[in-house]
Amino acid sequence: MKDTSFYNSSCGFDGDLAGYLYGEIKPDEKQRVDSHLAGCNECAMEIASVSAAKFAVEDWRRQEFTGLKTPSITIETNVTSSSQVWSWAALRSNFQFSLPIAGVAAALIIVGFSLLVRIGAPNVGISAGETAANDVSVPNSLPQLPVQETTSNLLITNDFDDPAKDDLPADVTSTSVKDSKRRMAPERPSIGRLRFAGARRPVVRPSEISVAKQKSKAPRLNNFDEKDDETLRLEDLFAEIETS
Amino acid sequence: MATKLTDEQLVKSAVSGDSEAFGEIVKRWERKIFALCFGMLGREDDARDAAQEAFIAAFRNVNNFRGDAKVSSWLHRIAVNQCLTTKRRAKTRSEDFLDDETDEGSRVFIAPLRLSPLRTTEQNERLVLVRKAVLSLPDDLREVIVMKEFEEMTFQEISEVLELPLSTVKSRLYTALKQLRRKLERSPVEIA
Repeated sequence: MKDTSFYNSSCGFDGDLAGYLYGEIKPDEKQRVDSHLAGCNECAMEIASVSAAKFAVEDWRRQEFTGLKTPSITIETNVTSSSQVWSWAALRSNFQFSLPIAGVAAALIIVGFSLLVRIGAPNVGISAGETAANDVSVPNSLPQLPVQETTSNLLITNDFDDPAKDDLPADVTSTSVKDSKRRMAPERPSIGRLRFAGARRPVVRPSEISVAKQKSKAPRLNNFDEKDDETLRLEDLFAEIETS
Repeated sequence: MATKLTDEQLVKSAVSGDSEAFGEIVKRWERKIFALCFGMLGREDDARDAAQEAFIAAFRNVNNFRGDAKVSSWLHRIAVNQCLTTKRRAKTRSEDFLDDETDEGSRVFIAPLRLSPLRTTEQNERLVLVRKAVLSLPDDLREVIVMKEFEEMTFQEISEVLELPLSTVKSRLYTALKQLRRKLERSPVEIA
């Protein structure tokens, strides 16, 4: 089918003048253009001037481009296609830690964790009763120690060796709480005793802890007459483990 | 082995992770893409950078390549877009990128020895005018004339690459040449 959409010529000639210029034209169409140009001076002039423009561009290409060497296209290996953008290797390459930095980070984590343990952060959210029950180092037989009431967001407590404290009664009254508050010394803060509000923890002195440990470790085999019976001793040990 | 494959088969291989397949595509098209970029931008260094960027962009987006278009069409579209981006950036850098006369003076022309100095100067001036005239054409007309003259593509190939009817391609080319003629006729240097 003949394509008549060119209408290139000023006189309205619909021949394929572009194809004619570049030699990409069918023989019958070329013959038609040739016969038209022979009789139409306007179209002949136009095709001559357009040819001059075409040759000027060709000349430009020949003079400035033909001699140029094709650049070597290099695609760096770190350039990834879209399928590889979120690969693990690509992600990891963005986070390259050196060994010293990793060591410092690990040390900071350890120090931070130990600080958290010391200030009692794990007890946050646990009630005072649960805390006391979970504290195996404080036997029920020992006198109950006063629970430190929290009045601010950050509580600083300092315990001193008070001989009178050893005689604390089993049932702690409001008076004993007041006494414990009285024993606080805010002007001597100790970072090892910092703890957050809400972490209600019984104040236990180290001497009492050691006593408690000794008591919990003490064998109760003396309660049995048949000391040589291993069965009895094992059962007793199991029972004690369960109760503890 | 890879040389026997079509462009579309090579792209499929590249998508599946074969880096050599994309290298073969680059090898096949680098000269034409460089020619396109040179004709669109008129400077060797800009053309080199644009061609490089175009292939990198193609590699990055190879997975987005739709099978319904030809690889040549896809690559040319990326390259033309890259050239337009480069031209915009250059315009941003310098308000008059194309009419920078001081830069034209720094170009080195290699003239045939048989030409006299006067003739060499005239020829150089004419080349500058032609380049300016081509670069001042509208984008759609310029890309057709560059594909035809620099890439030496047939009308049918241009039609396939631009996904345009054959008659539209011929019409655009003829219109581009007529506009070019008018621009050059206004210039003081005689053409050809």
